[in-house]
Amino acid sequence: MMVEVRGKAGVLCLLLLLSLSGCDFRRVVVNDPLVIDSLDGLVPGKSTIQDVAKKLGAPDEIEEGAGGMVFRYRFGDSKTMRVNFGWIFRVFFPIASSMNLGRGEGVTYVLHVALRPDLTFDHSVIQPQPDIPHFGFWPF
Amino acid sequence: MLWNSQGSFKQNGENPGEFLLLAGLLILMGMVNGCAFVRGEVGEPFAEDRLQTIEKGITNRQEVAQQFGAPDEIVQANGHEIFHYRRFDSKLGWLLFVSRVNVASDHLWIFFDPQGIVDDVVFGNRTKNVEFQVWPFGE
Repeated sequence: MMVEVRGKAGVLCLLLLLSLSGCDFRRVVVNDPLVIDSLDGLVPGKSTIQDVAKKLGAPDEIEEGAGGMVFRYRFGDSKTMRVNFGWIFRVFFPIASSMNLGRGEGVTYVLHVALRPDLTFDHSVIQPQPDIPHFGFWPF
Repeated sequence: MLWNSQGSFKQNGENPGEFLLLAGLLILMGMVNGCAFVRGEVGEPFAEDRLQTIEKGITNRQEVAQQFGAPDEIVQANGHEIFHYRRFDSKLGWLLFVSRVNVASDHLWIFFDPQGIVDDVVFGNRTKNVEFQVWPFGE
């Protein structure tokens, strides 16, 4: 009885692994998530460029701004899923064509920190939290 | 022949269930993807001792270039010339059908005054936190 149950469980695990081997889930994360709370304590006209760097680190980009400069920080997250419906034929045939359906979603989260001409903090702009990307294979 | 639990081989046909299980596992191992851990680095790490050689109001453009080489980018902003040096580090973890790539960057921004003397330095090290991760779900 015990052997029978273990056998069935083994077959189920085998089928599960075989079926999942036709899929893949991939994620690419660039930098750490931007946390709005990290801007707490920055005072316009008083906080220096070093105060900003202590809170947020070095920016990914620096650009000329209106009367000063802008520090730009970025966080990226992308998810890709692919299902190969032809994979299962490899169980039965030595050569099997791939039949892939896949989809990827990605978001970029950007934080702007504006500095005054004397290089003190002026204001920050953080975009609303974008929808987190989801895994899905249906491309249509 | 099969390897039994007593540590010896036994003849085919004694236990066909075990043979099928072993054969199934071998087929499975041959068909599923394996695993991989891959690291990619672009640029050299910023050594602490080299960073400490940059002194505000003293170090000039030429000395910075001698320490760090030509900058990856030169930005003009708010009357400052800014040298930008960067480094990237990525770690890929891949197991069977799941994978995750974590990418992070270090940035060194050196601000010069109109006389070409260092006015300010901004450095951030994010690559020290990059980890190998396999699980793509959740945070």
